[in-house]
Amino acid sequence: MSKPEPLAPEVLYKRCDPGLFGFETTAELPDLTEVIGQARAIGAVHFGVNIRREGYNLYVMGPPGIGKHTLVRQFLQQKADACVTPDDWCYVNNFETPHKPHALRLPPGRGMELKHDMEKLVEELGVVLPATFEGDEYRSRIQALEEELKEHQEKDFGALAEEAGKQNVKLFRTPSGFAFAPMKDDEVLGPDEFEKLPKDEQERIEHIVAALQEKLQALIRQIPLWRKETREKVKDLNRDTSMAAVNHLIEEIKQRYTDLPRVVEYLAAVEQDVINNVRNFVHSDESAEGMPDGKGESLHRYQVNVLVDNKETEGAPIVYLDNPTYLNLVGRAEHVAQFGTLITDFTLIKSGALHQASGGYLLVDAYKLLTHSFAWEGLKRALYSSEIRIESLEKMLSLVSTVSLEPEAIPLDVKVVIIGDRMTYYLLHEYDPDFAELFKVAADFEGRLPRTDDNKQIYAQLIATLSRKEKLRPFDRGAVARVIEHGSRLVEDTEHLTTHMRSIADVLREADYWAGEAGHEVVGAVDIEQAIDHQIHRSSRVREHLQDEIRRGTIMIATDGAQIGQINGLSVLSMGDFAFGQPSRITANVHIGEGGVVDIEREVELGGAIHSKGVMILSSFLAARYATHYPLALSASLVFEQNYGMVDGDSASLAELCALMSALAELPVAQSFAMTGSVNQHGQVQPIGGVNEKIEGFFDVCRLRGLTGKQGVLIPASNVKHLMLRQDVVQAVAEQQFRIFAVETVDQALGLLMDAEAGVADEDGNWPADSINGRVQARLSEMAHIRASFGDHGKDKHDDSPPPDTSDADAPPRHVD
Amino acid sequence: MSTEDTRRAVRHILLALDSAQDATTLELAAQLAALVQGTLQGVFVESSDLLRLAQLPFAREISITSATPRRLETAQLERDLRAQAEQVRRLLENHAVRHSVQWTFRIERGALTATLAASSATDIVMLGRPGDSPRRQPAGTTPVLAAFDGSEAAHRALDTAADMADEGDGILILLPAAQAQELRPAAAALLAARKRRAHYLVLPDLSPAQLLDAGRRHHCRLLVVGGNPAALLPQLQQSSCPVAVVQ
Repeated sequence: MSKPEPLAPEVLYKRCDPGLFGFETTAELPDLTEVIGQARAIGAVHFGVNIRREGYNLYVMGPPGIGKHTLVRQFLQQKADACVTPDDWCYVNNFETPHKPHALRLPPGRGMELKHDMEKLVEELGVVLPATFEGDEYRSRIQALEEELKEHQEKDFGALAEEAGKQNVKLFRTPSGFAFAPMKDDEVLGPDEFEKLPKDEQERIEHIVAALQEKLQALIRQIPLWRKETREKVKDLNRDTSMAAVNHLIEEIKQRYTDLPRVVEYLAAVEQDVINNVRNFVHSDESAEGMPDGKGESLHRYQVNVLVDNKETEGAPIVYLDNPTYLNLVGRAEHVAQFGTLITDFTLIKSGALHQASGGYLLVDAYKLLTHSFAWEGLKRALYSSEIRIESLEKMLSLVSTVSLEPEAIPLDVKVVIIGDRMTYYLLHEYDPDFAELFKVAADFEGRLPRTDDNKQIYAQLIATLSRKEKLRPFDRGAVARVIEHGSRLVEDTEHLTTHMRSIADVLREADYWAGEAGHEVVGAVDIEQAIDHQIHRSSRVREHLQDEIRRGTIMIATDGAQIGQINGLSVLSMGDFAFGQPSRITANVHIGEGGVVDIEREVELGGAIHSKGVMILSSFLAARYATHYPLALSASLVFEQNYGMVDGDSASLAELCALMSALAELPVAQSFAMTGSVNQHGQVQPIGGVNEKIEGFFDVCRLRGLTGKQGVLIPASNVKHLMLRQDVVQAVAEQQFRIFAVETVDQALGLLMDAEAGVADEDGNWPADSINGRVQARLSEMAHIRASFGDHGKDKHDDSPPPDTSDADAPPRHVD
Repeated sequence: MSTEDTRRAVRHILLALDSAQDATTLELAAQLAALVQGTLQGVFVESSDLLRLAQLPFAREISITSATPRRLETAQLERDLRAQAEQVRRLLENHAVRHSVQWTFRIERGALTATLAASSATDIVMLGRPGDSPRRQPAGTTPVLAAFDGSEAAHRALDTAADMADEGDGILILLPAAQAQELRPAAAALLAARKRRAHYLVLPDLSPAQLLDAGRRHHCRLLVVGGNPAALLPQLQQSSCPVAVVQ
């Protein structure tokens, strides 16, 4: 089997030729009107927005920073401008059931009109009604009614007193009532004189007094009735007086709303309420039977609470709810403290985003929506019922049962656009059946687009658009080419470009800054390079710290010599949005046992499931390749040396297999190599992620130690298309100071690492004795025989003692995928 | 009679009451006392007729609130009268303190007429009215009525009316038809000196019935009459507004 040749410098970095562009700077390019690379997502948004069916709301997904918000908003704005402006909504008092305020719908702008009309009405009533009730005419009529009552009483009492007088009896007022007394010579008959009267006379007087008392009782019983009659008359008078004053004022307003029957209905209710509660307008410190004694405290019952005012809105509203709490979404009834009690009424109802967005579009972030308690439930309920019903959380959760506001529900016609990541979409789809019912349209934003010549031209236009929007200097062709190359590096693919707008915009802004610092009129490739370098430099404190520790020998990484069962693996460490590669020493030990490969990371729970899967594949590979005629009597252990954090992914499985094979074959591995790649059960090398960072990580270590020309990295052949390496790496390869090999099989890797032939098995599965595989086969055969001779006594003793705590809390998570 | 003569110092204002229900008259009496810097003399009259009635074996009282009869007993009646008297005293004290006037209070047993007849030493006599209190008439909106027959007492009554009427208040002078032509200039001269506005109303005569009717029709705040309180007040007790008789 021939050994692979090092990769040529040309395949390590796919350049973009500035000569492709026909402009000098981006200032010559027109603005980009289309959205690049998102045809599928835009199509979905277009469909979701246009289809007017229930449940066709949108979930826009894609990685953060890709420009979902901007793109969706731009698209919706174009659509909204052509739509009809939705109506205004107001809450007004329900005079019959005040805790259930009525909702009124008015054409755009007329909600505020009604509010002002009502304010003016109340102001006018506040002048007209007191004037009417304090006027001479009203006073005279009230006085007349009082006199009538008084006369009635005086007349009847006078008649009774007269009747009594005729019988020589007088009516007296006592401290708490009335009494009759027989008279003699204008004086009350004394008790002695009464005693002296004949018995018949005494009886006659008593009889007369008793009869008069009965009449008096009947008369007194009539008094409440007379008063009630008077009260009724006063009420009628008040009603007539109010009606005369109020009617023409309200009629005038009604005329302006004849096209809105519910408003006219409301105004009629207002009229009736004003008449019934005229005391609210009349301030008086005096009161008679039913006369107004207004306190003026209830005039706000005639206010109009304009919940949605679309006077200034043109087309359909687009509302982005930044803080999607339940209350911000569906609205609330606020309370005010009054005499130690919290009270509320329809004037304290506040609109939610759903009210504001009704008739248009509501944009909300998935993460924020789902992390605010009850917001998601509230949104779903509103969408299901197609109406907005304001309920307090306490009531919704049945925590309190006090009387609270139950405002009339407002119809909801809104297109909700949730913007979030893919994982949230999949989780919602999986775990919430309502989600699929209510959000039928998914707009999936693509993270990359093909690196075609056409798309490069569009990319140039995008840079031109962004530079104008952000008021940046123009970018020359070289800069555009360099941005395109960076776009490929960001997606780790020579055949694609990123659509992550935030990353591109950041580079453009920073390059403009560096161009300014350097006094450049136009941003050039050198400014782009500086911006990228600074971005990396700002984030690379941990990387440099680790490299320094490797240089000082604290982290043990060998870059020369050869060792049995020891190899340089490569891993990627993610620090926020910055990732870098770092070599890790992987070692393998073998001894006689029951055929298991122990993943020490897994045993101490530092290894993830995918890593363990990779290790189990190794066992399977060994068994399939070598243990066809005898059992695998091998126990092996694999470990990431000096690893104190979590490790996951299977990109180290090729390195682990090579370390294991080295230990079995007892052939040393050249330490000038590092390697990455996953391996399957047949020994084929499979692609991994982060290939650029991994190569650069090992290159940096080698450069610190001094490049020898022997050092290099083995990568899967299928990762070659992902190579967009740093210029210093490409340069070193070009100068033959560093090498990169692409391998397709484990045998190719073994051959390079051990500088020996891997060998080819014959028909019986036997490998040449001096080949790497032959040595492994012989060693396994020998172990099987020894194992057989020991029988059951050779079983490994499992050590249950806990591993020492070597964890490093500061160690970042390590990805070897 | 000159204006100067009519404005003799008013020293004593007598208010005779037999219940605490007429708070309006009490308030006006205190106001008047404050304006003229006189002494307010409150007299609560315990009716001897009522006490005699209570001794009759069949004496019954019909409650004004429930219309039910109950035995009228002397001891209970005396307690009730004492309670009323105390109530009147407190009210009088409150008003007097509020208006910063000197005041006295006494309880007499007998008849209101006898008390009034013995009031010759006082300058102005007012009488509490029976029944429920009518509405209070706020100052500035209703007039003070003054009956003017040209007598000396009538001049003093007009002067008192001018005292009680604020600048914005009107005084409605009631004149008897027979002497209206000659009495009007005299009244006008007096009021001009006091800088008070006046309107005139000519009545067929100044009999108590005519005065009561005028008071009712014009919603007066106070009716001021010159003359003998013992003769006038019992007849004016049914007035819709408080009555002050100036001697």
